[in-house]
Amino acid sequence: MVFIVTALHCEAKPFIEKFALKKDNSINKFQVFKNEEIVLIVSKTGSINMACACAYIIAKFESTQYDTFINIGVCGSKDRTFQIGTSVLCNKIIDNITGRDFYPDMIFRHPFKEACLESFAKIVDQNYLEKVRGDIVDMEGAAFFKAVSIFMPPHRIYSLKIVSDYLDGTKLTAEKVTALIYEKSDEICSWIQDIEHQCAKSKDILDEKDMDYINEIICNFNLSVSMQHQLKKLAKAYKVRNDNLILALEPFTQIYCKTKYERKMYFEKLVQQLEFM
Amino acid sequence: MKNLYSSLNLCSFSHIYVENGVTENENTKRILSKFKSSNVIKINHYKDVFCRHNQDFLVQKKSPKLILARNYGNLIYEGARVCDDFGNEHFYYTSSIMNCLYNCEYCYLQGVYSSANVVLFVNLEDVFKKVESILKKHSVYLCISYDTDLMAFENITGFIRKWIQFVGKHSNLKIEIRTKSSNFKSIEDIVPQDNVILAWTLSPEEICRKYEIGAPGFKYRLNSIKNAVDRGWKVRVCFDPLLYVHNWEKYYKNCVEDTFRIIQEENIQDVSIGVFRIGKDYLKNMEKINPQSLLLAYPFKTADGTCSYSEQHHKLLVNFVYDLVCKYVKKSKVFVQ
Repeated sequence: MVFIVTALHCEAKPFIEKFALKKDNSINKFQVFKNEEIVLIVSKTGSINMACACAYIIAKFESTQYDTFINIGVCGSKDRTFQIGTSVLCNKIIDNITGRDFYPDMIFRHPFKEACLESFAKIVDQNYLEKVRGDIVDMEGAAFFKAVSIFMPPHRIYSLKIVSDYLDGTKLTAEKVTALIYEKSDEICSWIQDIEHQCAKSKDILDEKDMDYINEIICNFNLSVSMQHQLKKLAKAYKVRNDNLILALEPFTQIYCKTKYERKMYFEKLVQQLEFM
Repeated sequence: MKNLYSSLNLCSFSHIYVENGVTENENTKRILSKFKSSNVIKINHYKDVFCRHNQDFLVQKKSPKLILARNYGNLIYEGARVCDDFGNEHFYYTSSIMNCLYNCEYCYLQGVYSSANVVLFVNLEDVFKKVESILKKHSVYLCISYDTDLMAFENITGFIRKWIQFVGKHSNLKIEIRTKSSNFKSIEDIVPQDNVILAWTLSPEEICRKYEIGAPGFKYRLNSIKNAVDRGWKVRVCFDPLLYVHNWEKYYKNCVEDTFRIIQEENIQDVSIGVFRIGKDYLKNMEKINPQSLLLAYPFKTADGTCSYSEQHHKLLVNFVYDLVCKYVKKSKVFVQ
């Protein structure tokens, strides 16, 4: 799954359209739009809202380390070499409040510029420009990264910003924000689709049938928790080496242990069988 | 740097993280000059990048980044129990680099570090000072290519050249530079020194291809040894780790015979033989990272916190390779770990 997080609805609008996302009306604390592969949540502005929205979708949709999280929104730029409308992937994110720095893993190719983002608690204007350490500025990027990185690996968390102004007090309307992002949305959507299936979860070594046999042995032998772990570990290694795990396990499914002594004796035999090279 | 994996991945060292405290260091400047198209990102401390939560070693290995930092740690460590001291009394090691360019499936570094990014400590001169302070007390045998492959990085760092110059000033210092690289050409102009041991790890071609991804093949390594020998270096040859794989007898027979067909005994300082062995906790981490690995699926036996093959397989492997090696090299030159 890909999880897109925006602060404002006007930032989300191009992606709701492009990915044909439908509003999930069962959720009323945040605006959530989704299809089978993509979930988009609108957090509202500010770091607390952002962190809450991230934690909410991670829990609600039971996301795993194989999912991708992308924060998309507009930003102000200190660096005037970035043209208005430039899309920027953040390779470093500074939390202005705590002074902490965050580093997404830059593993995949992308068509965007790169820069350092600094997140502030309030709107930054020309008077504050000297104190800005980042190249670009927003209000949620650091909270997004900090919240999501508790659960996800750093190569699955991205902050993608579109330059909307030079921190010069330019008034931005919701329509202007949507238009700026809309212009870059094809490029962004195409990149999201490219990276979505990278690092997909590899198949589990033990399949359902293997687990049925293992569970039967666990039950019949009355194995302790530690023995159960040992059995699963040995079974995995055996299957990597031999593939015919079921053949090795089958004779042991017919054994029923009534005493601890019996369990110990037959378990040793089972270990011996699974350690066979 | 080329990327060995998917075209969707950025190339190795596409991003270089530089500690604020080392931006003016000469080694930093020289290294950065070799990566003009990389993104340089300033950081406070290397651990801010290297020790993050939830990192994926295997994913990072597909596009590793370089981190330039200062080492404030011990700089020199006493030699590990699982490593051979080759009869040297004061055995130490030092790591100027953490992690390696190669991606060997059995490598313990996967179990040691949570990140596959490469940390390069640029304050080599501090290490020299530390070594000098120990040399005042006694002689030192120092392995400098530890937790990395220093020769593979030589075109980037020039550290081996600096070490050999340093050793030239200290007769009671002996260093070992262990490598799987075929990059001897980067130091071929240097005059050989008795107290510098160039040590190559050799593996059968089939094992190189399957389990030592990114490392030069057997023939390239052998060619590098040949070049070193031709220029007057005495080399250490390491058949370590020996791996218990299907057809191992055939593979190691060919490997040993091909080696000594090219390298004569008089050019060999010594030979090291050892089976795959690893700390219990490191193995646990490696199994977690790479659950599908056939090499790691062996039912290892644990003794004193170290995991290795069963006594039977250990003996089979070592005796087989030892007997083969002894056909070409005096027994006194063969060390078994």
